[in-house]
Amino acid sequence: MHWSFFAVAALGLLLAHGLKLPRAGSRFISAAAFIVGLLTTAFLIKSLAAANGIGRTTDFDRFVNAAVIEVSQDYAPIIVFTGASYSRNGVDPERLTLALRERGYPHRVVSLSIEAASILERDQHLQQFIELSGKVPDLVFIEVAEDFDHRAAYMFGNAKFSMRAIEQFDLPTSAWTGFGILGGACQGLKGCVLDAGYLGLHTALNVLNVGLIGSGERSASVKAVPAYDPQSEPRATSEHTLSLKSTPASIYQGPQWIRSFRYQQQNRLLAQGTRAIAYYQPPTLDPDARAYIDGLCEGELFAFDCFSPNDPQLMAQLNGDYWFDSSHLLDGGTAIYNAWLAQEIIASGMLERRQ
Amino acid sequence: MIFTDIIFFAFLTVVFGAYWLLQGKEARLNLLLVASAVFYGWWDWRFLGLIGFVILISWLVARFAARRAPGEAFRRLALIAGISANLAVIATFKYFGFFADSAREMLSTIGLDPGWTALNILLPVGISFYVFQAISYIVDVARGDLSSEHRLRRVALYIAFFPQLVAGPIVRAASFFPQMESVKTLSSALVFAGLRAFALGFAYKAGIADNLAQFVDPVFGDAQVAGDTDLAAWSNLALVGATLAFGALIYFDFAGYSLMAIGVARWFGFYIPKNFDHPYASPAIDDFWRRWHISLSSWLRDYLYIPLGGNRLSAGKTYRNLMVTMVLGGLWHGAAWTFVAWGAMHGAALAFHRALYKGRAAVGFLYGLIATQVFVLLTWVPFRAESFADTLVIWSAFTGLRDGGSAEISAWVWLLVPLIALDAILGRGGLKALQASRILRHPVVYWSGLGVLSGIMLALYPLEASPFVYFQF
Repeated sequence: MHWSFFAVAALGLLLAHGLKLPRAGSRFISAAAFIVGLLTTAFLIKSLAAANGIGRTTDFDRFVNAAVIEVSQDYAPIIVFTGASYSRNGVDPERLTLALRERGYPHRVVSLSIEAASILERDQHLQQFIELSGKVPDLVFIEVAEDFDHRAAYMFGNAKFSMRAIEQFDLPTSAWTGFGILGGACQGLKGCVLDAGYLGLHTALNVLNVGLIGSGERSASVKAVPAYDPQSEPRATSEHTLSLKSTPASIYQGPQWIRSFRYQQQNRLLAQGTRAIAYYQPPTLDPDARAYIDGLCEGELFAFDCFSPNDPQLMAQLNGDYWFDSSHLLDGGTAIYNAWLAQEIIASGMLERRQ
Repeated sequence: MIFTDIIFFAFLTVVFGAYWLLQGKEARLNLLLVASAVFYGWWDWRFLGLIGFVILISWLVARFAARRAPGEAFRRLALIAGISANLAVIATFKYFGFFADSAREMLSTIGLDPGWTALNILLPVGISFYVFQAISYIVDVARGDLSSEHRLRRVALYIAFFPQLVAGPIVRAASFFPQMESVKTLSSALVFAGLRAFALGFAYKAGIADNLAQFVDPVFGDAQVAGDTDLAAWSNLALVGATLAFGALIYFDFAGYSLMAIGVARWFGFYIPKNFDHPYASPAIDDFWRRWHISLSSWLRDYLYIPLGGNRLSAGKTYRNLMVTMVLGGLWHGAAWTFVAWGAMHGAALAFHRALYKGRAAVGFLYGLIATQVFVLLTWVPFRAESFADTLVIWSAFTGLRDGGSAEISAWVWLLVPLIALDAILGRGGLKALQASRILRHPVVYWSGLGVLSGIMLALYPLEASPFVYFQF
């Protein structure tokens, strides 16, 4: 909680005690006065919150703070991995850092990954990391997955009206998501209408600061929690038979909205001082999901370093009790994947390449 | 369904619209009765049978008592039977486990193992409130202060009226029954009067109280989970701050609920008297009890303290009556010895105050205010703490004699003192000139002010709403 809570609450008490019966007046003017009062207050509160670094606290903020603490104690170049649940279970920053350092590369790896995070939400927290740490990552690894590219409002399938859902749909994110929905990045007509409706509601809740002061905290004072979430036992209900069969990849591009977003994100990060951007996806048992990133690596992301897990050698190594469920690795699987990934990153030469 | 839930707003909108669209009085009252059943059944439909039983018994007993002449033995018998039946309901559902546990512990201290385990009975929400309303109805009829209502539906609506059903205020039949018969007209005055009470209550509850749990729960532990506190880790200042936060939380929570109940009732044309009158500005303990949970304290006065003899007997008996009333009042709040201790402390304070000042003004306002509020704050400790051991630890933190831990709560908690003071100043007519100003009634000023207030409430709205504290009572 922040002092602004008490200032805002005091003003609320003053008004709640002061307002009595109004005299009759024009309905139009009354409605306009109400809307002006509401929107002006929303703008002022948002400005106050922004000036004090206050946001609705989510687990993502905790992960960002853990990463900030990690890099504050280390002057090595930073590599940020930013992904969804595949990465939360499948990218262990400590292992990767160690693997790189054993081979003579001083980089510090951090992970900004959380379940069901779209590229837009991850980008918000990547910027939050840069702001709070005061450091620009040397390399940024961005997870790509078909689910997120083809459903712009993926969050609504998981957690509607949660703190995290409301927090992420600020005006720029809503605009990008709306662009995606308009471009068909949603599931059928009914799904598109629902996503658009939820988007409108969440944007309104965000713009009107619902819960921002009451449930909000200063981002910097949120308790730090590392993003990596190692799993030791398979999920009880999951069946995970590894199919090494892969659908042949075709050269592919993501939908227009995500291509546009990736393009502006690349330009922004490079302008901020990031030396290189790479794309990746941790292994999954779904051959089509692996084929999707294969296609992107050969197509849209051709100019970037791109690490598809569709490597027969890697997948053969993961043919065993390495799976939490069909999409997520157990800790043992993560160890295999991270060793492979470190090797691939080094082999790509991107750690040494000059800008 | 609580008043700050989105689902309640949908429910309220539907019921409000239908109520004013209906023309006949009976149709409207029937709608309110159905709405009340839906509202109560939303928590657990099985308890509709229980409240139905309370309604039926109260109606039957009152009908029976009303047919007997005053002073007739059967009338007295009916009164005793009605009160006993209602008390049996509350004793079973609220106190059975408590008394069984207490008896078992007592027997085990003398080496006897009774071998029983207490049943874990689910506490029906609002039981303490509606049972007290039912008792007051029976007693009023049996005393001859109120004529018996022959229509069961009227009694049902009085006991189950949804705005005050689950956490009060405890409404008296004498004030509610005539309101059911009056002709009601939807007017802007009625809508704005309801809005005013509801908005202030919403500001108290959702704007302030729900956000204070973050100061209280980490220190005192979850009120619903036993044994989850670790007071040793907290500094003395943190324990005092958390107690202050709890004092603010329970006031803003309960006063907020009461105001919202008053506002909702107003929208249906019913008037419910206020339940709180800024008790944290009281300069004496008797004044505090005239302003805190007014509907309960006046109920205890009229149906317990005065029948016990009140202050009409000797000084000693007056003190005894105060103690009995407040101890039972403490027990009403919860089935635990800590609540009994809380009530006993307030009873002792009232007796002490009476013995010392005999109704005269005590000390100066400021000294009285500080002494009273420090006492009230200290007594919130057993009210909220999980055990007497925790209570002693927190009290020792107030003295500074305890070796505290290093964990702290946010220092902003101390801003609650000016916030409570501001609320009391405004509520007790401070800034009267401003409030009386005609400019505040100008439509543009009013509506833009309401817009600003809405913007503030949305920003303060807790995304994870807490149930009302008084539901558990």
